[in-house]
Amino acid sequence: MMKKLIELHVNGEVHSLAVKPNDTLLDALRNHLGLVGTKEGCSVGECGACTVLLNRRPALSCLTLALDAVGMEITTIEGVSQGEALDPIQQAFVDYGAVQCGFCTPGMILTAKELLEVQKHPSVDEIKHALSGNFCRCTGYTKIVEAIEAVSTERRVKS
Amino acid sequence: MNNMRLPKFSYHEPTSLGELLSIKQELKEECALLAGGTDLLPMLKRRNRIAAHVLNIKRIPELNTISFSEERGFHIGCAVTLRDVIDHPVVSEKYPLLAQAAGAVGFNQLRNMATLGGNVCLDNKCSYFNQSAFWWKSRPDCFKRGGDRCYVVKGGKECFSLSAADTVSALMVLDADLLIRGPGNERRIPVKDFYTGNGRKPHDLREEELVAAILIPPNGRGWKQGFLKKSARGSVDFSIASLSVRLKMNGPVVEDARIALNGVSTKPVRPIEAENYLKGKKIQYETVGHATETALKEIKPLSLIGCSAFFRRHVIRAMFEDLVSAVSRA
Repeated sequence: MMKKLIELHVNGEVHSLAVKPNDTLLDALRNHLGLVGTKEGCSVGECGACTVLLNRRPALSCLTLALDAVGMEITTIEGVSQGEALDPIQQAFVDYGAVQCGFCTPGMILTAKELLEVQKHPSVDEIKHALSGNFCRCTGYTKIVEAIEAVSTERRVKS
Repeated sequence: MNNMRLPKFSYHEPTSLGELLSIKQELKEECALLAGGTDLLPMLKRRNRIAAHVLNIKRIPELNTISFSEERGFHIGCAVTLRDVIDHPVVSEKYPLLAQAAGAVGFNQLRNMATLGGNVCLDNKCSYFNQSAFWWKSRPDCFKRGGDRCYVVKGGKECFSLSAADTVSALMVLDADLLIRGPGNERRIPVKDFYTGNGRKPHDLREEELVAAILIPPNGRGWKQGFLKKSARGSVDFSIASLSVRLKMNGPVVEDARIALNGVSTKPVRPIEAENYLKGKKIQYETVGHATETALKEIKPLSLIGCSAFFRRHVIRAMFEDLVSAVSRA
């Protein structure tokens, strides 16, 4: 199978890499670029562990071909913090103990990031609805929802 | 998870419909069209489907456009994502039914990727067929895999897989048409005629054709609409049933009715007798009850995807009564 040379725009940087047609974006991120923050869970689009932002919207990297992601703006968990400074959502996850084994956390944070961009102050139900495609097998949902709520509340206090 | 890697295929990226159709015609081996990929890729990973070629249709501008005019209604290209359908201002204002149905598909991430054309052309689902190649090593093939038996209906003479797409019932009650394009031909058929009821080949679509667009006529005056879906868990399961209702009301009296269900049988169902019964009737407890029982006689639910026919029938009864009364009162 012929490999193809492509450019991917990941976290604001352009990466050149050679991929096979049947490499998924998840393969490209983890195996070619070493961005192992994005996880492989079910690999068939049920668990949300492989969530990345494609053109600022959460999408599943296990069901996106690497070749198909050419020209898209890709954000992974590695691109969320500003250097050493954590994103408010990441900080809230730490503060509220929303990370247990941590496998679902990258997907949760990226999904939450888009939610809080689209809706300034989502209700608990809206948070749960937005996160319904991200599975936490430690079942630590309560603290995850609390963490996201806290970010929204903090915003309200500041503004 | 080595066995869940994608199989080998060659990849094509046509940039016009003409190019796509000619590639499709040239390639003698089996082609798969890639739009959202949310159903195709799991199917390829489980080896439920074999494709020597994958054709990405998302780089074709005319399949990616959504347009609306008061006279002609909606023209939605097949590769428009469900998210773009839901977020379209006219959809949420005039076709809340379609926004609800598209919003009921999967979860957030899937709706950002999955397309309306992909949902319309969703292959039938089955608790047996949609298992991995490893799982299938342990038993003889079913009809859908080219074998000689059906595991869903024991002793069944054909394939009983489930037509499960959520947007289809909504498109049916909105009287939508499909624009089908092939090399040198173009045809337009009502959504309801697109489904064959044959689980092995659920769509009336030839090898060289594709569904290019979904056409929804303008919404007439006085129509009320609603959608309801039930599934075992909110976002990851295919439906127990999805139901769309559209009623033209004159005060409490039904002037005209469109009702459709999907996720219950091998193809979507329009309970025509229940629709006809409701016409000219006043909506009240007895008429809704009678319409529900009439509809249930027209539906033959399957025992599939974690839900028995018995339970499915119960759920449909409750959904039907609820939604018809709710829509008439809206």
